[in-house]
Amino acid sequence: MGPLIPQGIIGPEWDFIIALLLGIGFGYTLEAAGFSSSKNLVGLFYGYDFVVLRVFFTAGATAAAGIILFDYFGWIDIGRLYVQPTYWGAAIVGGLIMGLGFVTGGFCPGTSFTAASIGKIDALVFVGGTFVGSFLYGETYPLFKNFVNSGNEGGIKVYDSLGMSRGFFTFLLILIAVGMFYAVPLIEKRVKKPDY
Amino acid sequence: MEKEVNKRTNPKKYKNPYLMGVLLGFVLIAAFYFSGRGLGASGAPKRVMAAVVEVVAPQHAEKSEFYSKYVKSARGPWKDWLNFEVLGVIIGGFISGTLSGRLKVKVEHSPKITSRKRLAFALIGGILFEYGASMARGCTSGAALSGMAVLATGGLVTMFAIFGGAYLFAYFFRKLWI
Amino acid sequence: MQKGTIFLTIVAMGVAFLVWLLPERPEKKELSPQNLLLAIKDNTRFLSTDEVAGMIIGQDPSLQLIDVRDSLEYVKFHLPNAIHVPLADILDEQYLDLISGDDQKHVFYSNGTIRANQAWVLTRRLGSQNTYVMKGGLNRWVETIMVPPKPPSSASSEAFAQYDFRVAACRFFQGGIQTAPPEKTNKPLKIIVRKKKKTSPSGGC
Repeated sequence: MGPLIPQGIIGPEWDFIIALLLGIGFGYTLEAAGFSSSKNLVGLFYGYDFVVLRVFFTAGATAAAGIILFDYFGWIDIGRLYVQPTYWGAAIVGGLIMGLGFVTGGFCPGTSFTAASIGKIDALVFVGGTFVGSFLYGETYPLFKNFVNSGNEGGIKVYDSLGMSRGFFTFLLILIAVGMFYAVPLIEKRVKKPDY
Repeated sequence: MEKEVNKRTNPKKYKNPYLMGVLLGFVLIAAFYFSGRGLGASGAPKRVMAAVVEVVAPQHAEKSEFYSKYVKSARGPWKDWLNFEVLGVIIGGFISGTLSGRLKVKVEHSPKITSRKRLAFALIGGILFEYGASMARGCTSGAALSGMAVLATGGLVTMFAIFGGAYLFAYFFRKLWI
Repeated sequence: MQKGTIFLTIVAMGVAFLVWLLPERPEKKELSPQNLLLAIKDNTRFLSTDEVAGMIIGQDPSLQLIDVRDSLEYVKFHLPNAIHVPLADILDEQYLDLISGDDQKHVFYSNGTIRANQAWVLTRRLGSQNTYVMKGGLNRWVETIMVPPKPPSSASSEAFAQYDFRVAACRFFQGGIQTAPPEKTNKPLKIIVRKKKKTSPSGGC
């Protein structure tokens, strides 16, 4: 069965229409959860609002469990899904740069688009920054080419890296997520939320 | 707990974060079910930029190892899944903002900083985020969230690096926010 | 603690246990070099020319012959209904998709055994399961099917039965060539690629 388009079950001409619809769903949930305000987003890093953690881990755990169930029922072939290749060095350094970008800019690319769509000028400027960032990366790419492309381990899975079974890792993921959902209100209670 | 959460995180009638999380999870499953891939965001500026560079300086785009990947791809940098998806993100955000009356043109910033400072840091943040995302092959949505859905090591490593990095640097930029 | 919270927690943990306890279906994966070596030592991948001829005559729907020689050779002669996948292009995604299907027996052949064997090793490494090699290739085909050697009178009855089969097969293939319009047999067959032309999805962000 799935994935439908890569397997040719429905035509590739649907790809863009589905992309648009999925994007609408994505943008809607982000905005409705409050991700269109950088005040809510950076709350995660100062301890006054963990909405990002709640939405992010609920979504990730739902999707991970859902895909495993889909695979079990034969609706989706996990082996055919895109798994981003693991480049340890590039992932860590790139991630740290993104973390720095997060606390300075207050958005990530996805949330900046939704925030810009409801009129946040700061988000619009952030989006402008992403274009500049791509341009700079394009120009400096030759400098880091070797680093960025070194140590490719392919599309490895985290449960293999940790030596667990897939089911057990997903179980742990959900357990940790639920545990965090119980823990974070205790932090939120102690930290004053800024008023603006 | 639920009520408490609602009061704390939903002052402007934001929807329940767990409900939205499950919904986003379903959108993510649908993305994999239909298109065999997760959601993304930072790939769109990259492709649009490649297209712009191609128009402004076609020779440069062709020569550059980075842009040529996108410029020379079969359908070109414009007709790409991610561009349409991001267009959807903008529409979806607009729909939600309209329905809950949050459409308002403004610069949101802490009263302790000027809006000019906020915009300057937003620009810097955007530059850094996109730069890091290009390096790590994905951002919070493309690498971390979609990576978690398929339990990819790379995605989870990127996720820890992003949030770890943010916590690491949060102290130095606290004046911007609190 | 609210009722709703407890309920949601129970649902989440229920899903978690379910996912843990569900049996995993084996993922199709690339074969490790160790397992590949074991597969190479195992000779079950070889099909004799007689077996292939029998399948062609019996119009076995599961048979998919794959000619891995270059296009000149293919145009000059190829086995009936063989598709053409030059060895140089075997890693092309459209061909790999074709070869990785489990529903058909994919039988590689070349002039000898070597090139077909190479194609087999490459595709097996990439996870194709149902692939075979026609042992001896077209050279053996000509020796055994087109010009079958008559067994000596002292040979076993099995050898004679095999000879009779080969003579019949020879007639089948020659007859096929004579009755069919000549340009038809020489025309290289177009590969019917199932709709899955689209390359595998790429790129997260």
